Amino acid sequence: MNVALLTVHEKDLLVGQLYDIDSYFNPVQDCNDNWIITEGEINHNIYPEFDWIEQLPLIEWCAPPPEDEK
Amino acid sequence: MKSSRRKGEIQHGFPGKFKTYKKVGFKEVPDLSTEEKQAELLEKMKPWSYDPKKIKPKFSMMAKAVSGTTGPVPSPTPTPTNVTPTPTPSSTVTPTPTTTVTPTPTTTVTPTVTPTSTLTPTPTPSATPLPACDLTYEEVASFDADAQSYIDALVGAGMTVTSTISGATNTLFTSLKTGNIYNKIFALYPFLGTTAASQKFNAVDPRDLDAAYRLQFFGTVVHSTSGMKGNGVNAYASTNLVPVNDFAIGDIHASFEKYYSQAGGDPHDYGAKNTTNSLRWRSETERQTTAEFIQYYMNENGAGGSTVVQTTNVTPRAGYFYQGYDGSTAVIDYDNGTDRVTKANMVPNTTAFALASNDITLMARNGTGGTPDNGTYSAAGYSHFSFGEHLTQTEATTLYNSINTFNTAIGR
Repeated sequence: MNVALLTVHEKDLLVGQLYDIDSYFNPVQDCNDNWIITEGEINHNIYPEFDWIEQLPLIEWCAPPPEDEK
Repeated sequence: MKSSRRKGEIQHGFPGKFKTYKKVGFKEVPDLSTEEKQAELLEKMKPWSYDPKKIKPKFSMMAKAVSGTTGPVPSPTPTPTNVTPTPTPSSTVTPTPTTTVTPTPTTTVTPTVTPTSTLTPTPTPSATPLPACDLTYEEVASFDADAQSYIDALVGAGMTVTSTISGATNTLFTSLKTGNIYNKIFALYPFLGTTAASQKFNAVDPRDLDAAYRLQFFGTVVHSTSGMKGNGVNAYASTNLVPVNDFAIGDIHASFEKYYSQAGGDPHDYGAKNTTNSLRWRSETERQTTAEFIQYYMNENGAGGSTVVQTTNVTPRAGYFYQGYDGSTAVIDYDNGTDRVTKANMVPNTTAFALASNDITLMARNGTGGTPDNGTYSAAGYSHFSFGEHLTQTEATTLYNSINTFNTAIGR
């Protein structure tokens, strides 16, 4: 599965912002601490001010290790 | 006759061909008595006598009048074809043979009188008087007002609510109320519709407000008629339910149904964690060294203190789950409606810890920073969630049956 790679600045621009009705961007970090969003957020974005996310480079998703909470 | 425009004139005729007449005065008439007027009229009338040789009756009434007999209705007189008429002098009347009518005997019918039995009405004292008309009325079951509010919210969000869905919703609400558990549920998310706009509503308080525990969706949540599904990467829903504020210690329940399960990793169905990273309420499926577990923590101290833990060594799967805690050693754990009497790896705790101060998130466990802990995102699909007070086993069964009936009715 591919995800879109973000810089820290781009991540900050998306946090707390809607990409569709009642749906917010949620940048997360992958196994290499890269900030990413999913292609679903890109494909369903309805706000022109975020059209720039369509130009983001795609990378392969690498799941982070589970946090030890025991 | 119509009036003319000119005074004293009248028009008579038919449309397009009227003639105009002008009144000229009165006609001079002799002053005669009534008898004289009658005699004058009779004299002017042409004498007339009936001659059967000249008048040929064609119809039965005339035939009867002529012959004085009754008879059958004669057949129409056939019109000869291919006959060249012979010119007849106009002044000469050629006699036409009179049709001979053969009377048909009239059948005399003697009516047979069948005696009619006389019925003596027996009064029925207990009979309910009939209404004044033939209409009967049947009381129509009223639609539950709270169910209607939820449906109104769905419609307001653009969802097309079918009669099947509205009926199932009404049944769900009425059964929860009949079972006396409706008021024990703080949030119920049936995930109706196929958009975030319709699936965000808390059915028992469908206001579009955080205070009503309306959901907010983050990342790529998939909304479908089956319900809500995560992606295992960054999708979750925020409930605005804050355990320390909205629940009483040792009086909590959660229920959910998975239509799709995820194996591997550390995906959470829901969870909230205190900012001190010590108090938690969560449910997860976790892969450990050699097996996977479905486990939940209703009263957990993550710093290593006593915990109430329910763990079952089963393969992650879809199905209905109910998790309740009443503050004692009794933990109600319904797995597809059946109470697991033997609770593996259960660690009872009678010391209730304070509840988490972060809001509960769905499809991930909320972390200390107010966002889900990375690696806890679930890719599972859910057809409902509920949160509320602790329920007895009977009440938990009612909840299970109500949810199951609802999902079955709408084709899930």
